[in-house]
Amino acid sequence: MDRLPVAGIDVGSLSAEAVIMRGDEVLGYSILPTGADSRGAAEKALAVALENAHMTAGDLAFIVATGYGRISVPFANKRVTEITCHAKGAHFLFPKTRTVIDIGGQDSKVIQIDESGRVVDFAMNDKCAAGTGRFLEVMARALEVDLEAMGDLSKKSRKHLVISSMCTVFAESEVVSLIARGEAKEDIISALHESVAERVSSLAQRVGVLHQVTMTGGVAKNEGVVRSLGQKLGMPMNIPPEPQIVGALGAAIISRELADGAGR
Amino acid sequence: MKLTFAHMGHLYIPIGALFRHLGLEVVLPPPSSKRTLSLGCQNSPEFACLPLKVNVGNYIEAIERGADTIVMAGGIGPCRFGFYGEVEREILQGLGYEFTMFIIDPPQGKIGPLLKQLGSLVGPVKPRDVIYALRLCWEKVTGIDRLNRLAVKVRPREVTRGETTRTMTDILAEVDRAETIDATRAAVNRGLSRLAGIPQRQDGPPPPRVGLVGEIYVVLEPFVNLEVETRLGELGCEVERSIYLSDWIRRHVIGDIFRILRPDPLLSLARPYLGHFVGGHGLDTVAHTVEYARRGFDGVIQVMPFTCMPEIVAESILPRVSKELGIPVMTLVFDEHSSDVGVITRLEAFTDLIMQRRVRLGEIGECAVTSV
Repeated sequence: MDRLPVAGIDVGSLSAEAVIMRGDEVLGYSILPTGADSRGAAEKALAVALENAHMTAGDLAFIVATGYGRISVPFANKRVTEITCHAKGAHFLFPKTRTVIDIGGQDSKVIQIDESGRVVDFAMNDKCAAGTGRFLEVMARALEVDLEAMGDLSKKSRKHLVISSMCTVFAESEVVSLIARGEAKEDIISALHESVAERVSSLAQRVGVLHQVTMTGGVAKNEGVVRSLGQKLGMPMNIPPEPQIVGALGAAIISRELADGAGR
Repeated sequence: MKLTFAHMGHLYIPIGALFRHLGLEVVLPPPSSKRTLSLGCQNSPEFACLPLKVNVGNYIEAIERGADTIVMAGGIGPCRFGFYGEVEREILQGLGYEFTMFIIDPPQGKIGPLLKQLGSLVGPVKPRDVIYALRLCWEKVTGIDRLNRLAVKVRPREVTRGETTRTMTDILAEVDRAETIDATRAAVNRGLSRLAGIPQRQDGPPPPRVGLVGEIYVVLEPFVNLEVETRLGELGCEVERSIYLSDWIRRHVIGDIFRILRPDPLLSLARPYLGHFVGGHGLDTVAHTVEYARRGFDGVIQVMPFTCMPEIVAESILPRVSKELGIPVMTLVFDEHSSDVGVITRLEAFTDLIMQRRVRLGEIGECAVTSV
């Protein structure tokens, strides 16, 4: 069957992503900062993804929006929660996934799924930036390092430090006092990764961690957090090549299902 | 004397009618709003739970409208609510407001002091009038509960989203205006037929059933629970509340006055998980979750104010109930920082989860995900 291309758009708190799919093939995608205009970010993300796929909006049979900004995507046919989308996306990439850990810009969630990619249980962090990308972003600023460089830097850590505050604001004060004490940046960064991993693994224990674990969201690009979290969970994790687009990918897969359903 | 009391769901309708028919002038606080919450938070201890903060906001706004007498329920713990009346009195006095406060404590088998207290509040009234006022109040309580029980069945099936909620607002205003028992009955009956007349979809599988359990104030007050009952209904779920005012009055007020506290059949359901009273509605939360699982519900949502001790006890027990009886349970905790965005995401994801569970159990065919 000749399938029509569909799109998934994930408008998160920090970044907006779009994925264009036809059948099982990803034709194009984009990752852009959301900024203050989520509708504009959604439009732009879709435009860039379409450009990469050499298509125009008119070619698309169906669009599903997800993420916190999903309500501000008026041109989407459907809006679906990011929990359902991350489950679909992770299942598509790693069909043996039973646990999805998504650490995004300002929330983190743990989703347990079954062999068909259906959500069985989930837990989300409550109204607090602890254990999220934002936590690392604030700390990167305090340490004057690039967010992207943190993973690499932490590999050079030689000394074990502990950041005991979960709270982003209090942890930042701790970081400042560690800097004042003359501790090495690498060691502080490593301790911060431990802190995020600690927080997320306790969230994961609430749901239960089943093999295989797939990690999604921007923080999955940080090797330090991935290493710490893998150690705490006692198992390796699948890391997608582009962990940030998994939500948008899931939305595109739901688009495909809905487009098929509509065409029946 | 201008009398007021705090809001809790639709309580203002029957209680307002009761006091008015006892010859008292009632000044209601305006419906709870962001301003109420803000006034309450500014003037309450930060670590008190949300009910206290909203109460304080309600009282300040009622006093601004001219109220000079506050009626508040007391309690005997271990839930902190029992002491909130006293704390609220102190807070308002500290702010310089002039008012009289009546804190009505549960009679615990001794009805004398209660009657004396009510006597000093109400003044001389004919027993006939008291009986009529109580009957009118009860008529409104049971009428509103009947309407709500029908509304939650109609809402997930409505063809035009939002119609049930709009119709209910209308009906409740009419029930509120009814000044006699006969007029109340007529308004309730008219309301029931209006709800039944709302166009509903007939095809498709029956909507999933979700039980709403938790702390009474958060369960009953839509402003505080961010309209969790309406939202779930509009996502296509049939919601059953564990607490309806009429059931609660039957069990606690009437039961307590006449000391007919028999072993409660519902609470024996909780025994394998929780064997004793933990204050507030903690034990009820566990018991109702077991009950909903046995009745084949698709999921349970627990709601509570942040720092609510009885519900925290229940929350720690619910994962075991959920696992052993195979029913998905989600907990939502509310405080002044709760945002509807976060609640909507969780409710949609939970609805997806229970729909996909029904597919897995073979109850329904493959279905689309929840979307808005």
